Amino acid sequence: MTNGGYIVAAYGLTAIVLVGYLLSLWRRLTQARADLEAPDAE
Amino acid sequence: MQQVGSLLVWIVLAFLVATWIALFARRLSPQKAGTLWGIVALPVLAFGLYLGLLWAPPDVLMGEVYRIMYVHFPSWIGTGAGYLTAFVCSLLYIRSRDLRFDSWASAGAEIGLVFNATGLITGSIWGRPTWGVWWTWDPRLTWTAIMAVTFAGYLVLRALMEDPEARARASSLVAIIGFATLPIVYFSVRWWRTLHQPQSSPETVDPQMVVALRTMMLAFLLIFGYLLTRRFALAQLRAEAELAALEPDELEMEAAGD
Repeated sequence: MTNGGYIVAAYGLTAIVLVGYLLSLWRRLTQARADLEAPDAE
Repeated sequence: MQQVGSLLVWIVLAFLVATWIALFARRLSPQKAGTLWGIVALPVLAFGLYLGLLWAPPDVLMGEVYRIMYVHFPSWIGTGAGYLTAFVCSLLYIRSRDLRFDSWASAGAEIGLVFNATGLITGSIWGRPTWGVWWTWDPRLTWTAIMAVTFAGYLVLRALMEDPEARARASSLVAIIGFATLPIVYFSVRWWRTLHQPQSSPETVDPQMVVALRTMMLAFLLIFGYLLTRRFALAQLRAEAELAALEPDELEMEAAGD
């Protein structure tokens, strides 16, 4: 792998981890809000 | 460009300090503080990437591949901020038994672990062209892995326990003990003969590199702040759901117990 390849891999994987976590956090927040607002099933 | 960069670093640092003070003084809600940090993080990150990838000069020994530093080192700033939050808020929980501190602690630990992961990934990628290996059981790397496993264990423990009070007590102890790994990681390069280099000083690094690195560190701190407040909001929503799930007679029993 070239130097450029290592740099792209490092920045790319960091972006994937951080954006992936951000999306997962937004999804969990949306789900938690929906669960609280949903009428009680019982 | 260097003066613009230095000025920006001071302005963003002042903004960060002011917003944290406003947050602690309850003049700013976590939600609003997080939104502000998220908005400011984007241009600071874009500017930091420009400085680190294009503007800063190549390293004399490593050439261009050293530019991984601009994402590797800020990852450890995010890790330290996350685990420090978990440590301080766990101590505050044990002192006050206020579950809000437990929510902050769990948010700090989870986000610290995310940055811990990016630090390990980027370090491994940087290690291959400079050391010739992706991983080695060097004291710095080994203790960093132990730190990650400890806080992963903290999150697993929380996932396994249902009672909020018992979960908060047990996980606070793990966070306080786990935080002891952080100074060991920091000083490991001085205490033992390691492959990893010791900490650099701004006096021995090219000024352009210092400005680029500080800009990226601030960008990661802003991202950390945004993620922390959103993860805290999630913990609060879950705590509300747990409270709502309690039967009315359980609530009466708890109230009678108080």
